[in-house]
Amino acid sequence: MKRPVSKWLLCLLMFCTSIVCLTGCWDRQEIESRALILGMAIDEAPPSEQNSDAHSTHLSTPPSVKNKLIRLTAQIAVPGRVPLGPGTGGTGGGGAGDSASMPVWVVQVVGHTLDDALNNLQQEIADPKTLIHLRIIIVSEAIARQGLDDINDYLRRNPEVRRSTWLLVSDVEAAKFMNVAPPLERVPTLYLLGMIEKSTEMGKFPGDDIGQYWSDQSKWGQNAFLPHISIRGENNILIRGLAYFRDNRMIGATKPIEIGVYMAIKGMDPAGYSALLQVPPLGIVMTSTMARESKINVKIRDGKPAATLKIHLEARLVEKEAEHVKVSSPESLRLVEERLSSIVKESAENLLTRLQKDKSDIVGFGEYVRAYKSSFWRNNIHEKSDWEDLFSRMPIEVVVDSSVRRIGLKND
Amino acid sequence: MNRSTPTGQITPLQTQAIVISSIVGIGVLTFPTYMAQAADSGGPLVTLLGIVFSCISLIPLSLVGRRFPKENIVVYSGKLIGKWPTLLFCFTLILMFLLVTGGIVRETAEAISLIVLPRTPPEITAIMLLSLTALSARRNIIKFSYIHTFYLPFILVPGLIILIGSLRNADYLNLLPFTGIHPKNVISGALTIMGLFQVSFILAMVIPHMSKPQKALNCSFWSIACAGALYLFIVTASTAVFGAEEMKEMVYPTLELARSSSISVSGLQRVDGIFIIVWVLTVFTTLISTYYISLYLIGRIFDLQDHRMLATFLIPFVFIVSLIPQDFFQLYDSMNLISIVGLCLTFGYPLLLYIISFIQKGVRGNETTG
Repeated sequence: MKRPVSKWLLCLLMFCTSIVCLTGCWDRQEIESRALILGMAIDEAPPSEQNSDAHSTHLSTPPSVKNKLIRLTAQIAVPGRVPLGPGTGGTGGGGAGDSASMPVWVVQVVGHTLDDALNNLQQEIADPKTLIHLRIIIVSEAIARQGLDDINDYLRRNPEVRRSTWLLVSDVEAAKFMNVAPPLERVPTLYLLGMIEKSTEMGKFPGDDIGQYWSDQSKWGQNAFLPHISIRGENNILIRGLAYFRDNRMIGATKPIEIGVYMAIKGMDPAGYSALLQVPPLGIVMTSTMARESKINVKIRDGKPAATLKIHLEARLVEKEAEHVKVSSPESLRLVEERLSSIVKESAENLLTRLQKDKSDIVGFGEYVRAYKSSFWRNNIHEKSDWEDLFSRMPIEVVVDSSVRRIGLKND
Repeated sequence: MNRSTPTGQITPLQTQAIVISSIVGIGVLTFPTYMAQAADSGGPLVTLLGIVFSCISLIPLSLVGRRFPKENIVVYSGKLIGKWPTLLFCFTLILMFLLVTGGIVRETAEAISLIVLPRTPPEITAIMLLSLTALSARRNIIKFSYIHTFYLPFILVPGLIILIGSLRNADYLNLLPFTGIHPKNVISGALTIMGLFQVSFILAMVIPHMSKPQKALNCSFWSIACAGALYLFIVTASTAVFGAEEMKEMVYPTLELARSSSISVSGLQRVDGIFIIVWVLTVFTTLISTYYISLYLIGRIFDLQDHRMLATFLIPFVFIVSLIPQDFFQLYDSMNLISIVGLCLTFGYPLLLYIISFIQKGVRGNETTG
């Protein structure tokens, strides 16, 4: 007699609660009424904007952040204008200045922290902002050199941010990237994203999204790095090297070819860089690297770590400048190999010396020491800076050999 | 016996399904962090240790259950240690598993509101989850075993696929040295794993209804091994992908793992949505087990015909329990505390029963021979 009643009661309860819950009333989100932030650029606020703080999160500025004001430039997708397929609409190239047809809306605000700035941003736009489609964050070098602690903290905490977002350092004003409109892609952020991702696929850049940056940053035996980018001309974006960090602060940057050297040190495939070589009897020769391999060995010598780095490169000859000299024998290829090896060795040593001087172990020699010489690590490394000090004084022997086996379709 | 508790119908395979899907639960989301805190890169080893401990801790329960194959734990415990101690133990167990149920409900609601439904009040998620659990836990133990057997493939298969998809970012160096640099809290780490595995106490409820109770020990071993393998895979994968130091900073490392996973063969770029669904299922199967343990024990103590009414009327109690923790840290601290206290019960109580049954048998054996 009792059971049916309780069953009915339960059914009624379930019914009522499911009406409320299953429809998703609370979390219903219309895609058109959300401000999808695709990209952000973070700069130091210029003096002229020091007083434009919108005060949406505080009345009086706490003294510790009084002089620290960042300017956030966000690229917000305009619903309905983001082209879905290739070449719909007839805007064509060079529509950068034509704001009416831009699929994105660029908003600029200032704030003392990232979230403060985002709140100020929200104060200015109608739709609720969301970071679920955030793909690119560009910080200016000045901000990167001051430290990215607060920015990373916010991004780590926010469940909307993906670990596959890219964090980039720009050597010019970061906000400029939000307005760059290359003709190939109408959404600037997506062009930049495509550029970074394709260069990763081509072996021009290591896969180093923000998740990887955080992981490297957390490791005691490794320092983190980020892509370093710049603008050339009006609308061209250049990957200009690796911005390397220590203690969440940028302390230096490499040249573009040194990205290739770094990837060779790490043995990252596919290989995508070419080397221009002066091989004495053959003249100027270009080789293109096809595959990289490397082996890092660490030893403890006299209570100090020492490393041996062996790099092997598979390259092929792609261009020779002088017509009269022939590449017609294995010996001449050996000459190219020798030259390539010595150049790579020189550049690797050069890069490592600079990294050691700056105490930034972006290769992660410390991780090898931690992994293979754990008792040494246990006794000597008590915080991350201990390894940075040891790294700066560590002898690193570089051995490079390379093979050039193919010469293309021309037979001399 | 009464009609709702038919004996001898649960197969060994179903038993294993029950234990596996009970063990794989809420802890999956967070435990790699605890492992990294216990022994950085030695996390997988600590997990393995915890699994071995859990395996051992189930032996007394299986053995004593095997000794009384046709009787439930309340009955044989009454015979062994007397009525009042049995009641004391059982009520503590009931209370503990109700608290665990409430805690799990709260943890799940918090995670869901953080990750997928930010504007839905966590309380509503909690009520929904609880109602669903109560509705499923109303069934008798045979249907209970069907529920577990049905859901198990939906937990294991997508879970494994997601994990494999995450391995492309793995770095072998992160797993070295296997022993960890500073294995400071190995024992407490292993205890955490044991705490997560203690829902395997559900075995005590299942044994009297097994078709072959003699296989209880075998079943418990294989289910712990299987669930353990999944846990081990998760902690190894997340250590390899993120590195131990990074994991220490994460609240939900396994979720981050799923978010960085992509199964390019199927063209799925983001699989965290699938992961959340799988994870809700694992939580659900764990919840009905913890709730069922409480219901079953109450039912046996008061010799109820069935526990349908009970399942409904305990909802408010569990819901209130789930509201008690005031913040994130309180929630996890109290859950850890309960799980440590629970360990003493779920391991100590069967051990006590087994020792006493062993002594009694010895005494009786001497009497008959002498």
